[in-house]
Amino acid sequence: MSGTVHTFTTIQLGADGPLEAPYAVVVVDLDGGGRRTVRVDGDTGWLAIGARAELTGGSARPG
Amino acid sequence: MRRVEIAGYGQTPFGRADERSLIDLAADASEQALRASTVRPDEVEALFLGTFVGLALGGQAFPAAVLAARLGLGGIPALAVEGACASGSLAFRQAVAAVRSGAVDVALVAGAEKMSGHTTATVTRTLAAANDTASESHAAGLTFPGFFALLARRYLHEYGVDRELLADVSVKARANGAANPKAHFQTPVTRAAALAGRTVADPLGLYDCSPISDGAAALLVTSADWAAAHGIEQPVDVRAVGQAGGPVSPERLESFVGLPAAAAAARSALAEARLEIGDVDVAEVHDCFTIAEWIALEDLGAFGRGEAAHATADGATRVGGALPVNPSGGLLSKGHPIGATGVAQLVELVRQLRDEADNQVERAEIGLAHNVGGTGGVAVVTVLGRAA
Repeated sequence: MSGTVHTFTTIQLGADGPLEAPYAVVVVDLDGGGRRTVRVDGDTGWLAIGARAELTGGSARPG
Repeated sequence: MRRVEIAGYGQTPFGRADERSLIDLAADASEQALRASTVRPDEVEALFLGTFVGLALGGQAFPAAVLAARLGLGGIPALAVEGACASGSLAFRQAVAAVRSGAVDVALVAGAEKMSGHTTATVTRTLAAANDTASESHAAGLTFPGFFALLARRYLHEYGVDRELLADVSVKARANGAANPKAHFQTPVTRAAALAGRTVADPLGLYDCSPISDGAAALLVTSADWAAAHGIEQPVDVRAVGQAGGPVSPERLESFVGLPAAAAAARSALAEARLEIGDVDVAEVHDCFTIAEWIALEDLGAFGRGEAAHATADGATRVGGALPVNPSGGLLSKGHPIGATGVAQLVELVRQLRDEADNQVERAEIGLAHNVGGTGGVAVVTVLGRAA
């Protein structure tokens, strides 16, 4: 699945639980309609509103 | 329907209350409200308590019955109301409905939270449950600062607003809080310092976020006839309370620059009060984060979309401006003990409408409160008026 970045953030101050901050969360408008909210694994330098994203499983990478 | 009034109020200082429990705080605010209104405990016919994390953080379930017992209210109906950050306003709305219907003449409303004594990570996790925990965004680890950061990023982008303008909300909040002896933060902050706070969830930094606070607030709600018969001084009119529901997780939001429940609650409340937003003299809005104040003001219709940022920078929302917003210091500076917040907003409006406020708005006749729970899953807008 691919789409464009609607909005995103990098959470620096996290919550108790399995996730270790910092981690990025991105909202992606899918090409076929609909929207997904997923984490970004690895590098986040590519994140920008309107950037292309590729979704695999529960995470996004540059598309 | 019967006219409903607020006969008195009480509030603890907001901040850290190390030695005091949720019930201690709620009882303190309630006793202040009873004393100030000269209503006797045996005259109270129902208790509504707004609170959210008493069980999760403090191990205290069943708080309304425990509070009623502490206050010596006898066996009256006592009900706890939970709607995340809107819990206090929801409790107030239940009290107003009970009095308006004639079921009771006198209802006590309290809102309280005890949040200190835990790590920020624990509090963040507990608050993050205020949405659909089966949602994709919850699984992705979205916190509340994270959610409002998503809104902020989108707002700044859509309207071409400089991130530095968010600091103006924080600077105003801290200046107002510095004059409110019950505020969590008692010192002003400069724009430069506000911008230099460490990042919590970009683009939001420390000064964009409300603090973790303990505190409680209380109101006595009575019928107008009962207040008149009992010589209540300076009652304040409840003109309308609007409540609406909305998306319970961010993926259900159509737009990231508005919360539809807040707009719907505002339309409902203003229609019931037969007023327009331009008639409002002072507003307390749910500024859990700086961005939330801009979105609140635009959802209320006080400013056009994308205009609240510049209106704030121009001083329109300061005391003395076109629409003073959060003269109490707001959640950002007064503090945000979750269940107390909605009640404390109304305490500030009552003080404004009785000319008793710390940052008094001159000739304030109509006050409006805007209180939001979760990701806008619930919103309550209340309109109060100076008694005739």
